Amino acid sequence: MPDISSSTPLPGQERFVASVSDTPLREVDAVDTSAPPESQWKEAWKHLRSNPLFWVASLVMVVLAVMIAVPSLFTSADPQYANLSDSLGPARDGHPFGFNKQGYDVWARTVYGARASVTVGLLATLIVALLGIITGAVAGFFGGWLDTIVSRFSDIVFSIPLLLACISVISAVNNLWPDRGYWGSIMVVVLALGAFAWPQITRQMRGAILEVKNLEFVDAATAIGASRFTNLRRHIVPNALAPVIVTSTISLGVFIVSEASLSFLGLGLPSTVVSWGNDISQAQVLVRSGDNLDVLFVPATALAVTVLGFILLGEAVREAIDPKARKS
Amino acid sequence: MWWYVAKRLLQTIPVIIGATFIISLMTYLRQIGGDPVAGMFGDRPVSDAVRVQIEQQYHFDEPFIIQWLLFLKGAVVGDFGTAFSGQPVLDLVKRAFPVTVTLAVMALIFEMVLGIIVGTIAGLRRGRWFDQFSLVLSLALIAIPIFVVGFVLQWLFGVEWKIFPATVGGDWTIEKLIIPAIVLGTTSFAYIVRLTRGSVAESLVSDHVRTARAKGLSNGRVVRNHVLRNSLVPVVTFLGVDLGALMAGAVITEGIFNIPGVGNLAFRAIQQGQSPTVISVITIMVLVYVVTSLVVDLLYAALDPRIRYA
Repeated sequence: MPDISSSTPLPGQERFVASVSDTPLREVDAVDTSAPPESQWKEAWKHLRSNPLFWVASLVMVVLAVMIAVPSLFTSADPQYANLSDSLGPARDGHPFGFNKQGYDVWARTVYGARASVTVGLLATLIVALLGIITGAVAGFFGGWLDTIVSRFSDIVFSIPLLLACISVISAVNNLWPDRGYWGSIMVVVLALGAFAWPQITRQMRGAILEVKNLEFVDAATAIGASRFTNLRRHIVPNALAPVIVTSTISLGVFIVSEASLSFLGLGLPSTVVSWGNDISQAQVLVRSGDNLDVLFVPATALAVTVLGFILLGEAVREAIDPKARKS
Repeated sequence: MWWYVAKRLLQTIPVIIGATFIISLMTYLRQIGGDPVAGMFGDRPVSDAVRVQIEQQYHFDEPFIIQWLLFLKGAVVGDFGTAFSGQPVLDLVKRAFPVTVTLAVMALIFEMVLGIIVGTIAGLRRGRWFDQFSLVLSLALIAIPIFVVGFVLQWLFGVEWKIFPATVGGDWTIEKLIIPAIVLGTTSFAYIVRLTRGSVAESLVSDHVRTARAKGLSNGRVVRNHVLRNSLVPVVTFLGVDLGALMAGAVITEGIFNIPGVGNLAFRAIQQGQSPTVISVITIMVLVYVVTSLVVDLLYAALDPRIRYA
């Protein structure tokens, strides 16, 4: 009879036990339980710092911010100066990407175009986030008939295609208020996007509030005498805000693309405003004939890199605040 | 289940009525801003008698609420009014609808087949070069505006290589719609790749897959029957809702390739202030969205037994 306790087990009866240093237990053991608890945001920042994508996105943001604040650092050419004899001219000294059909400097227009495009994205996001957070918080926290009204109304607005709704609004405003200048034009696009894009944030915020509302720490706050409103303001909204911030960051990129799409249809910013959308849509005619493709590619690349920057920033923040997204 | 379907159908009615209200309000604003009767005649003068007759025919002389109620009244019996050209709006829509539906369905097939294949391979080989490549590709496709993709493909296939016609025009065929369908589906393709990759990667490490492997099933069978079947639930829901989005997003694609579809019809009608056409077309898009999301909800419950009809 073989000795069962011998060091060579029978085939099929081998046992393998991993040493503690190879198991996830090592991480659990490494946690210092005596350390003070960190806030959600501080912990998120720790994760964010170690994510290379976050730094790539931040770099894009910084370059963009400088480009918007002092465009003359990037180009010495005037985006509003055109010379028809330069039409579709190739690159030359001081004009790295040549000229477009009207003889404007392609690079100068791209640098100065950042301002209008990013402003539209930022302001539209701000309006959508504010509207969405307030309506979603009210619907989720108070429930009842307020919830019914907000939810049904957001269902209605959500069902109308965003682009078509914006086209309708802007073409109506074009007749009511034709000469509206730089800021007027930007505000009309911003308000049109803002008026129809908020339901997504409302739904998300409402869901997050409903989830947070019944957690223990809210009960604890109530127990130590916090009023309903204090609870909402100090405890529920801050904890439900994380997913909304992520969606807003990503939708900022979507709004920049929407402005370009509207300008492509001739309903975004007027051609007097230097913007990426305008430059890209004007380049369409050239693409069909196929000469100086930089006229299309330079503003399109600038737009794509910017949008990508905001998407990556949103994703990095999502990973940092959502432990479930971290492991993949 | 039938009770649930009936309840959901009833819930859609206020959504559709509300949507027609908002769209009517926007077209009414357009009427205040620009005289639609003058627009109809262009440079020629309009006599007062004709103007009064036209205003009565299109109810431009009525207050907003009455115009909206008249539209609803007509829509219930299937009368969506007449366009400025004198054709019934329903005829225009009937002519434009098949093109857009064909285009949207082709885009849907493209993004579904390619998106699921690329996403699955990326999810199965997480971290390898194909995964990295598909991640970069999908991010880039999300960031590039659809019309830039459209210009480039139009130029490559239509002008440089002359494989497909650059524009579609009135006599459309399925072959002519291939490139526009790919353009229309690019953004959603990128989303499907990311969605499939994520859920395949997630279900690869789940308990039921480990069990299947422990039973000794071959790798192919595990992937087909256990990983894919479960990870495709979110993809199917995305595809369903996407059909409506594709039809609305067709405005841009139809503009680039000159396709006589619903998007083109809506865009022109909005610009010319043709209220009956605008309200009808957008309402139909709302209807498509509402119906597809209802179907998706039902499908969702059928695919995932954990979800029960409430």
